[in-house]
Amino acid sequence: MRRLFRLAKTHLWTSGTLAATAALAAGLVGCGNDTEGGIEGSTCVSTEEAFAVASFKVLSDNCAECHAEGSVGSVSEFRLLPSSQAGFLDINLATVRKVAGTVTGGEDGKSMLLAKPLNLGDGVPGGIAHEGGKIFDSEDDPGYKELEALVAKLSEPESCPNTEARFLAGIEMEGPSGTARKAALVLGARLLTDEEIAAVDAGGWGAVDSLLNTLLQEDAFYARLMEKYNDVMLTDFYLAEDVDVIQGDEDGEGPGYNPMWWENVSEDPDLIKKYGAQSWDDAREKMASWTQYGIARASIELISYVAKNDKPFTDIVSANYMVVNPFSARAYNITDAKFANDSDPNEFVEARLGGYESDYPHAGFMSDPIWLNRHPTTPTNRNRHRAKEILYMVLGNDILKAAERPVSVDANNLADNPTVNNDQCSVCHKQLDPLAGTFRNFQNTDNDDTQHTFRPDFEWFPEMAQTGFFGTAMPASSKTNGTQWLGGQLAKSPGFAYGAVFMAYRTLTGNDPLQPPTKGSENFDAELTAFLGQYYTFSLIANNFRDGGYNFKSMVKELVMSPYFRAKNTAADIDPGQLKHLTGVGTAHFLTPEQMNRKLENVLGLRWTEDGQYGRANLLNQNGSQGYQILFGGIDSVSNTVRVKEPSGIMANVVERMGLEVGCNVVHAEFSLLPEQRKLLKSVDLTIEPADANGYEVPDAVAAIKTDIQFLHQKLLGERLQVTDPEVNRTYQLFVDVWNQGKADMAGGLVGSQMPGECRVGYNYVSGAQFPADQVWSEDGLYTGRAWSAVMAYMLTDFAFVYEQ
Amino acid sequence: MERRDFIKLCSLTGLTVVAGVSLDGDTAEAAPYEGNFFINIAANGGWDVTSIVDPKGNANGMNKYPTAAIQTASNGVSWAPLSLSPDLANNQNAIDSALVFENFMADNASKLLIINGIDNQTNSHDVGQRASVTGNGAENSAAFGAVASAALNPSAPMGFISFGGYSGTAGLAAVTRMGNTEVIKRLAYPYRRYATDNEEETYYSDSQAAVIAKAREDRFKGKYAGQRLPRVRTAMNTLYLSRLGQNELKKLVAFLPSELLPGLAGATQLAGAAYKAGLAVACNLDSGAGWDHHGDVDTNVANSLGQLFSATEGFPAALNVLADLDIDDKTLVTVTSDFGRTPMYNDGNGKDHWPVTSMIVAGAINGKAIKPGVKGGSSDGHEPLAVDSATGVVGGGELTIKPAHVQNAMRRLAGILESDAAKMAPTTEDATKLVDLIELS
Repeated sequence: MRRLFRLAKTHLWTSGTLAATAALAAGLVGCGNDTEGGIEGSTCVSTEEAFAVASFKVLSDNCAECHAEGSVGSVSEFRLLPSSQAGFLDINLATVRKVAGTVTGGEDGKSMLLAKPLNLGDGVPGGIAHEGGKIFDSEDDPGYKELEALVAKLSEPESCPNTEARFLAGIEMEGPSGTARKAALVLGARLLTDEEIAAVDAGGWGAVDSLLNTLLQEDAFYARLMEKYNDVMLTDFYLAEDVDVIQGDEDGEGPGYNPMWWENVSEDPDLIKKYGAQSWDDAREKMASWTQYGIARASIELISYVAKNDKPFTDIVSANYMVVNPFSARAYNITDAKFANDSDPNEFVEARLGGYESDYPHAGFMSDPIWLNRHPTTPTNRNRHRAKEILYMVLGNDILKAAERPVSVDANNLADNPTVNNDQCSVCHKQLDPLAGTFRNFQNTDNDDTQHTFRPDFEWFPEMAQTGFFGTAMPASSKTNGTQWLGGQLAKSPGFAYGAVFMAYRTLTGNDPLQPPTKGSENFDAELTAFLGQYYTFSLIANNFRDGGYNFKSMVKELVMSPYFRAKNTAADIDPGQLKHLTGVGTAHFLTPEQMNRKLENVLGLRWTEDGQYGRANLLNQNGSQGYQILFGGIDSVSNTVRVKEPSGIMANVVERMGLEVGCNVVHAEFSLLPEQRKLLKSVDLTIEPADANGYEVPDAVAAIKTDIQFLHQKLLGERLQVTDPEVNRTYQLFVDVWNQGKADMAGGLVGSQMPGECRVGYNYVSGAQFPADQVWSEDGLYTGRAWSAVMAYMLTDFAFVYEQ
Repeated sequence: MERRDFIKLCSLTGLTVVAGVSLDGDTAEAAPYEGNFFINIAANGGWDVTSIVDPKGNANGMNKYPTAAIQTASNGVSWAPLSLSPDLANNQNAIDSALVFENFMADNASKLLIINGIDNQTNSHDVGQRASVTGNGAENSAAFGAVASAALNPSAPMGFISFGGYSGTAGLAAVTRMGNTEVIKRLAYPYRRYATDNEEETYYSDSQAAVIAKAREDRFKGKYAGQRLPRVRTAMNTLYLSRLGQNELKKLVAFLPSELLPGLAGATQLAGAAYKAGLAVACNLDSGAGWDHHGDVDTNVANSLGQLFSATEGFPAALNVLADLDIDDKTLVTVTSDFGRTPMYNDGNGKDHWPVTSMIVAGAINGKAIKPGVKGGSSDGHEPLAVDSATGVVGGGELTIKPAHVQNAMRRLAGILESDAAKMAPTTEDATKLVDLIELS
């Protein structure tokens, strides 16, 4: 794997800047020469791939059940991670290499991997006893032959290292300008500035590297990152719920919590001004809501804080601090936190419960009272739910996948502690329960349902599996702060880097990493190749992430540069068989409500609100009778906790209404400004009609209209088109057809001459200044305003706008 | 492009087609769907069926209520007298809740089919929730509602509605959420400026809207033809298909209730309205109550039963809604759960996970009511009993009932067992077994 790491370094980076991946640069095609294609390189089978295939075809059937990693106290050193755990192939390969390279004693000694499954006994030349008995009857068994081939392969020097070409031949990827635009939209939820476009055009990949650095400092990326983590953590539940769920601990060992601290603040005109409030009641309301915000979001804000400030990402589970805003600090009675602006609810800084001298066992988000309360324990659940969440989110280990194999019912199974002694239960529990034990010090009390109470002396359940982490027992000295010990273990676990890469990939693309194929699947081989291709790339990135000190931004940059972000098509003559290997390539992600909001606001400068007014709440952030958040597939972290990722008919109509309402708002806002002040419609105004009163084209007008349409295609859809391009003509024809019919309808008295009232934007949407009411235009007597609105609706509802692709 | 041509094209390229909307677009509305309607209520968490419809009693410590007090209807359906559990003795609310269920059963057992001894073969919530409605515990399996929607009316713009429970589709259908009726009205008429207040006030005329739709479709064709990455093509398909039935959503408005009932009843009103409008084929509901009772199981099950069987908002109220809509003669209602609970109580007076569960079936197909009674069964130790390989009645074979058998039976009833959609979402059991598991009267 170290070798792969060096290769990746060479492949992706040159002299500290992103290289154009020379191996990928062949065959430039497409608009503006901004497409890269033709990944070249060896397509032979590497040792890693041979091992992966053997893992699924031999080891999983014959070894994995007994040699599963996880249980504390297992005597065998041959322990295999399940395929449900991220990075399992790398780790298992190292394990298997070691076992395969160990030779039994005597002149006839053979690889332990070959000797053990024959169970020939210690007295037989080359033989050794196997506690699990005989796996293969003879060396002629086909499975044994495959094992022999694997051992032989492992003993040879690598002659065919993995290449992306092995898995991704035939794909076309975005070049510098396309990558820059996509990264700006995905990371920054915005368009590139003119300066940035010029810089990328001139500087290529080096400029992209600089751009990524900029984007990864912007708030939009961290909003997106926190949303993705909240999709798993669901702690935003407490944005609306009573945060009084956290109680001050009666033993004095808790945080001394008072979320209602603001009730005791005396009326103060300076505070009204300081908080930008309208009245004292408004100021109190702000203090209350900002306190709740700081408390509820502490977990995901910690993740954002760690990533943004270039701290080792392992801090998310091992930091000996939490983050608070000025208001949650008051609730937690934290007095030593320093804020640059103590009236800013979005400023989060490091703090410790009880102050820096306290012994509260901070362990990143895992000790956050809200996260603990959102993932409660019970006397019988015994922290298993928390352990499951940690495995999934931190290690990329979906433990429930291990439970997909059928279990059989046998009343005797329940005897003698089944979670430890029954294979059908322990397949999950031997990974889960040792971890669950590390949360022993955060329990509810006998008196209430508080879930965060720090109980250093809590007596753990003796019948539970020994507390530990994947085979390592927790030392007795950590019994009083088991979660901190777990944080340390997670931070040095090989799986941590994979888990973080998986979450980052989900954040960037909205897609889950590919899973290994199910045995017996009709397309097993193709699915395995697709999986291995993505696994290979993610392994490189995970290893770089780990070796680089867990810098989250650097890892995100590598993901952005990978084919799994940049792929946009394939060569036209690609082999159909190869297409089946590309199921994990590309993004094509339907925007979430939050992403759509950000895109509208940052790309257009407008919010989609009930009446087009900027100050109103976004319709995609609301539910009930006002908004579309849940109908548009969003979550509320309460009852709707799973996103709908594919649009239904209802969701399509949300997009339709958005296009119509926002489209006409944008047009009205644009035509409220002088041409030189506008963002989009710079060549036309309301008087520019494509034809005169006799129906003859007006060439200058047509040219102006097409110029702006060409510009809209570039700005809104990312298409750099010639003005003669069929897509520009199609959009132009749409404008003309809508305009013609509109004028006819006006002439026939079917429609009026004014823009719809809800389309009118009463302020300068560039400067924010309010227009006097009598200067807000409404007359659209030539129907051009509405024709442009139709063009805008057409574009805002296009695949290229509502999907990230 | 005609729908069948489009689906064929997508099939040839090995891509998933998201059915769920008409491909005929504005020019040719699909005929309203008038076939059968399917509702599944998910009792998420894994319910203790020995406290519900597979009662054992206190004879061997399985339950705490008296075995002798178990109630049995003439058709063999039994139910637990949970209100007699000593654990409830000082909790009148819990007793009342248990009685809500018991009274419902006393009145309605004669109309229900209970399938007991279903071996879900898992103790995992996720797997159990999937298996119970897909017949296949694997990730991304298609829920029955998705299969039915794709098979029976792929042009329905909201063929598969979900209010909760496992709603995976395997790409066969789009999942639709529903909610506030005012919002739905706004969305049904996106071109109307004020939803239904003024039908004349639109952003554009119908012919102008058609211009936009035509330009959009022409652009799609060009872009789609030039795109080869499977993931991008699938996404383009999905958006395109989701739009083509958008005009049909207008039909929904006429059927929306003026006032929504609470709970399951309200959700059934919305889903029923979509069905009446010819837009929906299936709906998933969440029971609303929790069932993962690792502690104080008797009390907690009683409370959950009180919610699920509430006459004003629960399962009975949902059945009443269907009757009021006059669709109870072609609506199949099922109640499923992740799995069952262990035969014995744990130290916390609760029960842990146990693969064996039960299912409640009500309603009718094609005007014929479900034949009530009991299929399957479990031993005194709550192990699944072998059943006849055709009827599912206990005895006469070695087969035990699996969720896949149930799904096969439902697919057979729905007439979709041999459909392409069903073949794209295979279950894990032989469909030639238990062919009479669910029968009609």
